[in-house]
Amino acid sequence: MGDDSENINTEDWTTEQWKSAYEEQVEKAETNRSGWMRAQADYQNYKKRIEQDRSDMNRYAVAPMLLHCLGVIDDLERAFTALPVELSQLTWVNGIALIHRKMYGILDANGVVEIEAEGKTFDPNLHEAISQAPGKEGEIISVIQKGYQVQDRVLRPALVQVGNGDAIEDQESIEEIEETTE
Amino acid sequence: MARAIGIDLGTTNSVVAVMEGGEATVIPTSEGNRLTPSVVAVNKNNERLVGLVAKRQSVTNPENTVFSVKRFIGRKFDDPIVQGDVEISPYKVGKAKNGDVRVHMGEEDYSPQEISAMVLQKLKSEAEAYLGEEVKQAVVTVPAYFNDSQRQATKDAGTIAGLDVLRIINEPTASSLAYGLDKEKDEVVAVFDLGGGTFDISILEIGEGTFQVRSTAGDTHLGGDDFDTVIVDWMKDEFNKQEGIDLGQDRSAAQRLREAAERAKQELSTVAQTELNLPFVTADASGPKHLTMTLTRSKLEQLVEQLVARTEGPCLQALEDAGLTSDKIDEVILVGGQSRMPRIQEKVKEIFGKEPNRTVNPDEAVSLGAAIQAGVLTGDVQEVLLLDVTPLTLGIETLGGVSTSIIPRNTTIPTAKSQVFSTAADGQTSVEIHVLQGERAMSTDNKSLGRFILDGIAPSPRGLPQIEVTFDIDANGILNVSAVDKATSREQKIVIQAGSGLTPEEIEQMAQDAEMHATEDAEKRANIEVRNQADSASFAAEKTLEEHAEHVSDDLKIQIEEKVKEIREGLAGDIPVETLSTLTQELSTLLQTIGEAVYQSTAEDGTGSNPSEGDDGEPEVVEGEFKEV
Repeated sequence: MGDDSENINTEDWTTEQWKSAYEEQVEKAETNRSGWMRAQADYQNYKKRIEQDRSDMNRYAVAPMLLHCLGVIDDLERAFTALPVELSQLTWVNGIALIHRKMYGILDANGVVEIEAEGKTFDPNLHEAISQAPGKEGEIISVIQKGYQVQDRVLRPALVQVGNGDAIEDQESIEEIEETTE
Repeated sequence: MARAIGIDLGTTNSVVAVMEGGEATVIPTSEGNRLTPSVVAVNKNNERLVGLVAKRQSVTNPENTVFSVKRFIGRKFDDPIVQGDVEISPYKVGKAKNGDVRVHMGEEDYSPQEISAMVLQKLKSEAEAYLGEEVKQAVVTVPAYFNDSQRQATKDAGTIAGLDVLRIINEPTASSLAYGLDKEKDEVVAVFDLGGGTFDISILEIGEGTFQVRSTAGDTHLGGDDFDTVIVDWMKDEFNKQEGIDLGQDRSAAQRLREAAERAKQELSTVAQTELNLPFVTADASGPKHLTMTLTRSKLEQLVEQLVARTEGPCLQALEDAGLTSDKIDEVILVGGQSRMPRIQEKVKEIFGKEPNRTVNPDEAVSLGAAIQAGVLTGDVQEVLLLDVTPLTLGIETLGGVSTSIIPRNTTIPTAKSQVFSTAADGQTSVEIHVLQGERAMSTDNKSLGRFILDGIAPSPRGLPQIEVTFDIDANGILNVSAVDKATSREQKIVIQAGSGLTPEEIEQMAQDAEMHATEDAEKRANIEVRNQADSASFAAEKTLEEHAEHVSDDLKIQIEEKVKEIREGLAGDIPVETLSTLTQELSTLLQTIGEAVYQSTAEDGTGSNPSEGDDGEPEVVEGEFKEV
């Protein structure tokens, strides 16, 4: 590398030549300096972004692992929903219930919160509609799968059935029967 | 300086990427998703929803949720393809005065461009949030088979979204850019794109940085989703055989089946079999039922064989249309998530007679390529200084003939790095710095760049002196290596000219050798570590024996001396490393009993012990030499 000035004989230079060479060097120096500043600035900005990414990662890094655990928690809940009445008093069954509660404790400790769904107004930011069913329009009729949030991020939306505004037929007929039998 | 983004505007999903630090990266949304569904909706409150939120409410609002509008963009309403899709569309599709397509959403009619613009706008905002600056320009991709009208309409969508579309490029071209194919020799490339819903095969001719599409073919209804369906059907059949229950009727079960099927399919790309485990999947009069079945990779391949076979026709068609035989194809690249499946990769190899290239994330290749193109088109306003990288690791030789890295390979230069080392033997008064270049574990396998000696180190126990070794590569690629004794400030250095290392061919060879010998080298390094530790331990043992002579019973002294002898003989005789490791451990245990005795007696009679002098090892006294190789 090296500048051209190395090969130039400056012995007999006029003032003009010196002046112009000087100005050229000043300009070069300016370019180099601003280039250097820009590179440093880019680097600092990049660092800031990396730090932001890293703190994001710390907050959300647990997400993928937790997602898998949620599947297991779902299964445990299904197990308890299907628990035969005659077994519900067994100490052994209570033990499993305690384990279930422990898993919830872990979620809690990691800032994972269940998304409120049943009976709430459907909100696509938090819920995903799987199907519609008779019931109040826009209201969540049932929850097919629970949803969870960690900090401000949705880990998994709640899978729900949303009311379509149709009347709930069965209910009405039951009421009718009750009236006539009184 | 404003940056241009690259956008893969897909039928089902879209991805946005940007060049950052010289590399293309996908920009995640604020929710952390790398994909944005190409879905737009208007809800009951007349609010517009775009992306994932729009998708989530589609079931509750089918008439006002618009998706797959890419199938309509730039086409006329009477086009038979449009007609076919209109039939299955839950939202209303109509005809504009000029024959174009109009979709009805909320209370208004929109052109497909306007809908796509909404998706593009969302991607633009996400990019701006991520970059912290305004984004005004973009490169957008389209299928290679799009005609002028479709391309113009896509460009218009960008304009409506407030983006200056620098260029519309073909999806296979974008993928090729992501694979860096424009930097290599002129070649003919086949792009095999098997995504979630569609299959596209394109044959491109790449020459002098330009891309020419020779032919395209495909199947607009063949994708990963079909593979999932096959698995779900199998699960339902098997379950029905076992339990006599049809799970297809149960909404909640159907959801779980699909999720499990997709997950199993993905797992089977890396393992030979997986378990499908869905407890309490349903119930009947006799109680709850569970679904457990094993799915092997070979069973999966059997199940999807027909789907895999369907990729062959379009490939052969594309070759025919391009007037080429498979041997004329120089390279095949894989795009789309489903291309991860081993059977698909085998199929590609069968059809084209060569191993496909799959080094780029297949879900993101198109957007990454678009970002690369965007970077090229915006260029750099300021002068770009070309920075080099060190092609090979630079380091020094340490105890046992090991090569210790100071500046790892691929480090951008100019740069400087320092590390502190010490002496290996008691009373050592000089150290030799042997500068090495290469990836191998042993210094003899690497290239020697030069040596020098730093002397005048005050005689001390081994490991005490602090010698700081600094490697400094300047902007001209000249390496300055210096060694400074922190205690005396004595310094010695060597200057190694750029290019005095290995030639490019030798570097290539070195990289290959390193890979070939990777395990072997790692083992060698580990073994030397064990040897060094055994050596250290034996010296430490002798010192301890002397220092605490009065606390050591004759019995114990003999035991320790024997152990040290065993170790020394083992080191000289080259016994297996595990034995050496065990001996070191045993010696350590023996030494600990001395420690116990010392502390006990100190507690008992309140006196300390007098450390005596330790003096072994001949000091190496050599004049400060300088040898350049």
